[in-house]
Amino acid sequence: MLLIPLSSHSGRPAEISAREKQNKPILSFAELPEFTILPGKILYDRYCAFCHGNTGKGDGLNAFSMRKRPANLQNILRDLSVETVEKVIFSGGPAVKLSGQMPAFGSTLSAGQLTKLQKYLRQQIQTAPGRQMKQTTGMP
Amino acid sequence: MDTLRRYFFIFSILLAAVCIALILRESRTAWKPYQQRYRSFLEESAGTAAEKKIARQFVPGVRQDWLPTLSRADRCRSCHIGVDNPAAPDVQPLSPHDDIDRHPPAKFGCTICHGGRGYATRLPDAHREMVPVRAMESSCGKCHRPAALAEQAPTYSTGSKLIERYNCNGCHLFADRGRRKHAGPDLTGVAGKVSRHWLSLWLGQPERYLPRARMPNFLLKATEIRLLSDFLLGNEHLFKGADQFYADSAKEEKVLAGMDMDGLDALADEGKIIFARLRCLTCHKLHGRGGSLAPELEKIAAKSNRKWLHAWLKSPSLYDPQTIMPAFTMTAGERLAVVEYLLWESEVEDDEAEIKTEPAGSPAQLSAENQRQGMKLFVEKGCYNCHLVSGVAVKNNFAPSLADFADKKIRTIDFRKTTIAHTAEDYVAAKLQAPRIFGDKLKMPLFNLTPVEIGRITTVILGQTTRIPESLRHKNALEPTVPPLGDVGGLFARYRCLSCHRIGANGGDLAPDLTYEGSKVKRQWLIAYLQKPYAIRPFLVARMPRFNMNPAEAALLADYITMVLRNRKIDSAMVGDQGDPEYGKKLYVEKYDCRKCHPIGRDGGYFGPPLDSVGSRLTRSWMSLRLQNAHAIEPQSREPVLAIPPADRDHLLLFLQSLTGEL
Repeated sequence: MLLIPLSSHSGRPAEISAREKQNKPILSFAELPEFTILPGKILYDRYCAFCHGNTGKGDGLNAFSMRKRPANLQNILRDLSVETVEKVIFSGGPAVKLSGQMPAFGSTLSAGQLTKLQKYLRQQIQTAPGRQMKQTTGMP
Repeated sequence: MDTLRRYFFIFSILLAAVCIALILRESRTAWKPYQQRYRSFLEESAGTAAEKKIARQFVPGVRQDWLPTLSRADRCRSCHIGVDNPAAPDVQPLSPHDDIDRHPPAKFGCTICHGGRGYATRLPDAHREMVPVRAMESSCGKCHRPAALAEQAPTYSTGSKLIERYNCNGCHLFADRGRRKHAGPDLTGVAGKVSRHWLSLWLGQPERYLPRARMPNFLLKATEIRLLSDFLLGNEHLFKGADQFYADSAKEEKVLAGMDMDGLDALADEGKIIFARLRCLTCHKLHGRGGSLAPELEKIAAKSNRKWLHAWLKSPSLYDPQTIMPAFTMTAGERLAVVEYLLWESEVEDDEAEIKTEPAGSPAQLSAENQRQGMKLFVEKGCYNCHLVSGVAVKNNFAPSLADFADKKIRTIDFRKTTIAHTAEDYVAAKLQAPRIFGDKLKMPLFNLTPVEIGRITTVILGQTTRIPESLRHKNALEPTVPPLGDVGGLFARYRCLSCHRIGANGGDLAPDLTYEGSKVKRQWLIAYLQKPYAIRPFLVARMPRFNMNPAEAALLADYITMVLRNRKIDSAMVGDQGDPEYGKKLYVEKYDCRKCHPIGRDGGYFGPPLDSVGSRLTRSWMSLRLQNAHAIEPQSREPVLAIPPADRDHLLLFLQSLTGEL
């Protein structure tokens, strides 16, 4: 913690001294809360969230109008290999004998985009059983 | 002679010692063990003959990327030798670099993104002043434009939007964007708008009036607040358009004076309905709901008076020519109702916002001397960088330029006697948290930022450099378009279309891009939509305001859009007309299962727009292109690339065209 000596200045208005009294420590860059946004989040929000839900629970806005509910990614990702996930995203549900409602994104996403999406899925969506979802950083 | 010999002997010994020391030093270089490890890894993992040959031919030595265009010579790869080999072991310093093909080190080197000392071959010299990992995206902005980074570098892109929001580039110069003037409202006629009480509060503590205020706290003294208020409230004579702006006020006051309490309540109820119909919440926020493009209306009753609000609703541009607020077509009665509703809705119960900056009982002294001093203060504090006041001279270069912040040597930054760590990122973060920490006389105000926002803004500032040659800097993809003139231009100005919509490189990002709208929608649909806009996607709240355009205005705008805003590629899309709509319907339902996203009637998902009347809304060529590759025309589209083969496409197209809303 970097505590800055902010006293001994006379003749300053009341508001500043109120601020100084709070003695709010100045955070160093490393101490700032998580502010980075994973590039995969943008892709997830654009293509996946509407059915699979913002946190991957399979409760997106569109989930309730589908014949079969979209998968709860929080639970199933643990058991799926990177290759399987890639296959589902690139070739759609039928490629792994799952619902045809999952479209193929093979012509939409590049390999680089898929890597970013996978990273986001693994880091932010996939959860260990019973553990709380890690808060994703978004605009406050 | 003896002395000379003795000297010769001593110097020979010294020279020999230096030579031996140099040889020893060379044989114990920092990179050597890493390269040996890498070599043995290559030998062990080599399977094919070709791989074995590569391993055998490995030559140890300093690896240098010489980049004359960037005037850099990076030797980082002497230790980080596996960066461009995806099979390299995942231990630093040998680890491979993700996605290296986009920026091959032979072309870009390492330090252009990562910072540090490229020519050093030893630790810790090599890693001095590196870009912190958390702020890695700052380097994307060195070459790429912020607009192109929304997906690749979301942290930078969000930070960039924050810089626009808080108008950092009003005072500071940035390398990746131009200067923006007048992010705040024109203050020439502010005396007719706000009370002295409110103004003092706002100047002293903007965050007390609006917790998310964009206006920073200038940490003003009580006397300064009084002088500034005197200046701002005393310059009414400068507001030249006042007579025209307040023309109808007397009439409206008379109407209100003839009303009793019940009448006013009824008026407010009527105003509530009109307020909702006009969709004011698209831009304004009220009770936590609504957009953030325009000021919050939560406590508007404490800020603005009735007379001003009436006049403002009638013609905003008379008060502030730069405003983004459109002029709605309303009758005088409707304006009265909306204002009544706003004042009723935002009434502050008790005066909790009482301020102590002004001594009680002192009358407002609008002396000429105070006003003169206030004006001086207005210029000194740099208020003119955001607010226009006619008669106040505007100067450029108010604040230090940030355009070359990344190029600055850390030792040239004055940290004073603070305990802030001497790094660029900590300097910016500290400055944003406590702007006067590096000196009492500094002018930078305190912005109302969360720590997360501070991190993102710091990321952008760390990427400001002027040392990238123009040949490597990406230009804005879109050229600024010439705004329409004449009658159409008048409508664009009146309804402020470009506050939300974008055409080419001009305009806002709140609403859909209209650059190629003419190739997309049909004229008849557009005329109806402009008069009675609705939400095209069912999951969105309708946001396009109802301007109460008359049919002639709507037709004129629709003519302009469908004639001018076109794209040759879309217009000339191949469209066949041989097909069977019935078979197309079968494809729609079974093969492509479009209904999982698009509804027709009550059947289907809520992701895509309803297709009930898509045949009368969209042009054939647009639909045809969407069925092939939505991303070719709208790269941000949420629809995946469907790549429907031409044989199926024509059937589907005919089916979609038959959907004209008459089921």
